[in-house]
Amino acid sequence: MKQIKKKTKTLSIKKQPLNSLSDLFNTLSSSEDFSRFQFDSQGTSCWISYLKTMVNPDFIHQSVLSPLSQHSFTLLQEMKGILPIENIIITSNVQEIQDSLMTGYIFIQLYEQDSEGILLSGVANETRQVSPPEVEFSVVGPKESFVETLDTNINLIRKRLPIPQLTVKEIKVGKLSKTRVSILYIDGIADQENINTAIQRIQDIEYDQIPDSSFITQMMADNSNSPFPQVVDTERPDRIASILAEGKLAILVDGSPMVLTMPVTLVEFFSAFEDYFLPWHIASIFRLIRLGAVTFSVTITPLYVAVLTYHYQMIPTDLLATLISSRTDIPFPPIIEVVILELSIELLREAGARLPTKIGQTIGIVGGIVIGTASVEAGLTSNVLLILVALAALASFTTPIYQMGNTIRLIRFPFLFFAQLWGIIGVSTCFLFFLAHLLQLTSLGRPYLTPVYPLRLMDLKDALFRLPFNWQGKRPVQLRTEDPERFYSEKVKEKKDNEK
Amino acid sequence: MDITIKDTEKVSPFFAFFLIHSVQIGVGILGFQRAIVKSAGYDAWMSIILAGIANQVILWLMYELLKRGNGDLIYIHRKIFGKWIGGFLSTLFILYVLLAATVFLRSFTQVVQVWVFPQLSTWIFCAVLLLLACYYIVGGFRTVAGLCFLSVIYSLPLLIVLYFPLHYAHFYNFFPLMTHSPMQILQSAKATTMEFLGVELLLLFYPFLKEPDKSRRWGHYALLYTTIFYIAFAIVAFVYFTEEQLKSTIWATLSLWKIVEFPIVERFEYIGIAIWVAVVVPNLCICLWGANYGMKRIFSFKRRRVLLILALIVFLSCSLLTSHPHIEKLNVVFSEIGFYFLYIYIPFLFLVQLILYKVRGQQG
Amino acid sequence: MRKKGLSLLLCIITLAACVPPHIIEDIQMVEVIGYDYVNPHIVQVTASASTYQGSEAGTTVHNETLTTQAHTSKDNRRAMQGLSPKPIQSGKIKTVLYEDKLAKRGIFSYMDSLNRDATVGKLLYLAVTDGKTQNLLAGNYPISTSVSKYLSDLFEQNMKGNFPEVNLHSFLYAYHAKGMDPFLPFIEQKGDKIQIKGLALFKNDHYVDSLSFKDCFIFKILNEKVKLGLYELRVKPNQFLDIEAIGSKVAYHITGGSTHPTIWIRIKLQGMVNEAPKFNLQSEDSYKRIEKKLTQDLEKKTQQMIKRFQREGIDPLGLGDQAKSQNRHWNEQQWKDNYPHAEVHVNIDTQIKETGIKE
Repeated sequence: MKQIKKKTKTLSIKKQPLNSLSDLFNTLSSSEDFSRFQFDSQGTSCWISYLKTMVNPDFIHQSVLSPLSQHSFTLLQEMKGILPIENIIITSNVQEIQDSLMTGYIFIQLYEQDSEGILLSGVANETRQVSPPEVEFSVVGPKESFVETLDTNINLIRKRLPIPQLTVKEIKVGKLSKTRVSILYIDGIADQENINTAIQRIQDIEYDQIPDSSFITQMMADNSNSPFPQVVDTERPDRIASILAEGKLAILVDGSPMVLTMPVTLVEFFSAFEDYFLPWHIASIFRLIRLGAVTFSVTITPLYVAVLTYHYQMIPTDLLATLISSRTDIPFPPIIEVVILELSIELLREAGARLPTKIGQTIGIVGGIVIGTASVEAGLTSNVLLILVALAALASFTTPIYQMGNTIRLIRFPFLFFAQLWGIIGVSTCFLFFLAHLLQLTSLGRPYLTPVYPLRLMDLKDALFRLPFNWQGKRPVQLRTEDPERFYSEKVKEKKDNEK
Repeated sequence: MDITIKDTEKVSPFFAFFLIHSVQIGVGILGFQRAIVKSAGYDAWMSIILAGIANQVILWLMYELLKRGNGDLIYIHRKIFGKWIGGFLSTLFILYVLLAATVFLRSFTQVVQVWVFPQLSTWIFCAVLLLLACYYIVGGFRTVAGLCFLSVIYSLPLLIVLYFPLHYAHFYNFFPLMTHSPMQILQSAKATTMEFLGVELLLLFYPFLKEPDKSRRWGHYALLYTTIFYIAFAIVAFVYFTEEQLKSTIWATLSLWKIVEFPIVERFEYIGIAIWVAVVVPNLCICLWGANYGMKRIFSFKRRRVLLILALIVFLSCSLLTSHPHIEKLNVVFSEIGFYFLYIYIPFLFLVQLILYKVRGQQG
Repeated sequence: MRKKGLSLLLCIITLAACVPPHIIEDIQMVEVIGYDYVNPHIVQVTASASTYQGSEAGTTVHNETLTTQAHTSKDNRRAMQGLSPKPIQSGKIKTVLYEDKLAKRGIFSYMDSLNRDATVGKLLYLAVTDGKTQNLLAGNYPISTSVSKYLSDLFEQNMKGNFPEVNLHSFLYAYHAKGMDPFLPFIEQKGDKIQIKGLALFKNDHYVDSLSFKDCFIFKILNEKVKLGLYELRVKPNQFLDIEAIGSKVAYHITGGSTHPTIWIRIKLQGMVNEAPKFNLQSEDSYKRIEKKLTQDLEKKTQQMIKRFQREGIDPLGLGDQAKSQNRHWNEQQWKDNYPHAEVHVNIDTQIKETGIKE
């Protein structure tokens, strides 16, 4: 397996080295929200320092100042006993004090020049409430989605997997942002190699600020030049719980509501979690429809170009009249027509994504309907092609994972290029080029095209179709889990009707 | 074996089926009917069966040879004939494999030029396909095996399409049976050997199979499937055309596809040729890979550099062949060399190895 | 370095690998070709193409014909390019017509270009016309959108019915096979319609005789399986029955090799009564009577037809080809000599299944 090391220069923050407390306080005092004051009580005093914006003021009053004002103390140890807060640390490590102060801890010294003091957590984070998922919305099933706070997210996962084997490993990534990245896995089920690789890759990341989990995706990807995503990101806790139970890893990034899972295969990008909430035959059909839609979306416009430019013999005679009459007034050859329409649809999409919601809907209607109809009537595009391009665009959104939808829109263009070059043979050649790329792609070192190649017949039952639960007794072979049995089939009993 | 191959580069024995089958099915199947009907007429289906059986025997010999030699052909040559002569013989084999790649590529380009794009420039088409093949080879043997597997599955619809010409079938064309002498049937069998060529690549990729012994039965199944494939295409061509008609039809299979019609699409042969790209490219890939790997084994060249040179050689040879008679001649030469290699050299090698091992004693 | 090489390659491919396009609205798709006789060395070719005009109301289709004269078929094409505003493409040819005068002199030489050209399909309909093809193709046929559609639909639907199935492939098969002669539809222009006059019979590739459209049914049951066909049976001088054939099979058995052949033909026919104006079909043996009459009638007619073929020395049913498969040491020349004197026995087994919804 490849261990990827990113060769970036180590960042140096051009400031004075903060290796003493006084330096730290000097730097911090230039910020208005840093508060450092002496607190007197019962004859003793202490110095309290914290960032006002990171700490809940009620907390300071009730849990810190109030108990302190009622007791007297001479040693830090005594203070520790007085304050009714868990996990109080006494430290003199400047780095630790710096890190903690910046994340909302309160630092209490006995004397102003002390190098040692108490750290206690008073973090008050502004956080969003748990809300329904936006990207992976499902009609049936739980409607919780992740939020930006790491601890809340872990809470959402832990309550679905209340076992001690669910391990959380935390790493801090990013020189400036010091983002907390957690790797979750079920010890005893997930493959140790995968875990080690993932941890190693995250530890090797060198960057200054990590605002979102997609940064982590791109930095630890097997092949960052590939248009195909090698990580599935999801915002559903139920999906993550299910994935962890299969034997994969989940990576949570503080500040991002999208959780990453790996290793993944190509077929997973076409499975929506809702498939598991529907009966297996219906779900299988929907999955096949999705795959068909994606194939259609990628190939239909290149085939249009290929057939109309080179292979007129393939068009059935009855269809010929429609196609020719739709194209007679058009001044461009099919390829230019297709490129213009495709770019217009991309334009519509981008514009629709950037506009505020109120205007967005109007522009969508204006752009889609008015411009489309007008261009057909003006004779700039043909109506047949407009239908095909619109259907293709629609079909590209059937993928449940957003990243894959983007990929599909993009890979249509090489196909168009090859179709213009060599007609239908060009489409075939382009397909083979992509196949070569996919065969060599890996996700966390595991082949991307499993279970189709290498052929794992056992895993196929959850890839292209979704077979009933009692057939899915084994965990996917590709993950090389240590515990392959999901449940014991001997224990599965026949459904008993009421005893007569 | 003198070198060990990492487990990550090996494929499971099941893939021997796809590897062997996909190398054998290449351009030949598009027009082989004419060649086999020349001597044996419509009894040629028996020639195909004969050739298939002969091939199974040769495959068995090859497996025995490889098992006893415990390595690939280059290693066996080295052990039996020594470093210099063994190296020389191995180089000849590599040249033969390169010839195979040239023949496959050029014949397919010719098909595209005659049937689809008459103005297609040979060199650019060959260059792009060679580039594609190199892209696969760079990914290692596993990628090439994956391609073979997927191409066999991708080309399954072509068998189903054989149903359509049966509407015009004259099944009585076969009768009376055995109107040709055994000698003529054997001649046709010899003409069929070109269609079965490709199985000798096993001599190069044998070490890449996990548990090679288990792959034996898959290899034999592959040959059986190839034989059935050829018989199916031959039979449909025989019942569709009369003998005189067939003798003047260069690409009988493609002519068969001309009449297949669906409500959405009329002339199936264009789709058939497009699917056929995915059948020819694996041939090219395995041959180039074999040549590349062989060169590395014999001379310890750097893999990538040699690959470029080999691709260039194939490219130049393809571009130099410009007209139909030239390509026909090359096909004939290739067929002859292949025939002698398979049916004379392999048994010879087998016997030599057998005797040598009996004399020297069992050496690993 | 690698990226530069790749982009350079991409540029080269884009520029050098281009193939001439045939964009559908920029080409003239010829759909029907007609060959007319001018003199022993020159043939006149008429090509019929459809032009499509898109408008508010829908698509209107016009027929255009181009006529030129030259020595070979392809030279005619060259001449036609001089008449046409768009390049002529032959990929969509559906029907090819030959004037009967030309067909009498042999048509195989004109088929060579159709056979050799990869862009031309194989499921073409061929036909012989009574009169010049130029006139037929230039006519106006309001019953269908274009001449080519009219012709191809005409042949297609009739071949499902009373008319034997024939296209370029079967013609070539019959032509190349030893002991088999081809046949083609025989059509003529009748006002603003095209009518199938019958079946044109060929000896090798020369048109020698024709069957009437009515006799085509007899021919069809002799030649192939019939799924649908209509036949008028004469019971008494003024009494006619109409039978619809709903299934038939035919088998040939030829004994005696090519030296003294004897031909046995067995036909199994199932039918239902379509029209029986003055008949009483209620009695028990009415079915049997009809079957007997039908058998007699058909046997007589088929025998006559085959005797006619023998007299003329043609074999459109492919009896020679059948004989070859059933006898060893079959010789083409011997067969040709002995075929006219062969004994023919036709045995027909009819079964009337239904009589419609009225008795």
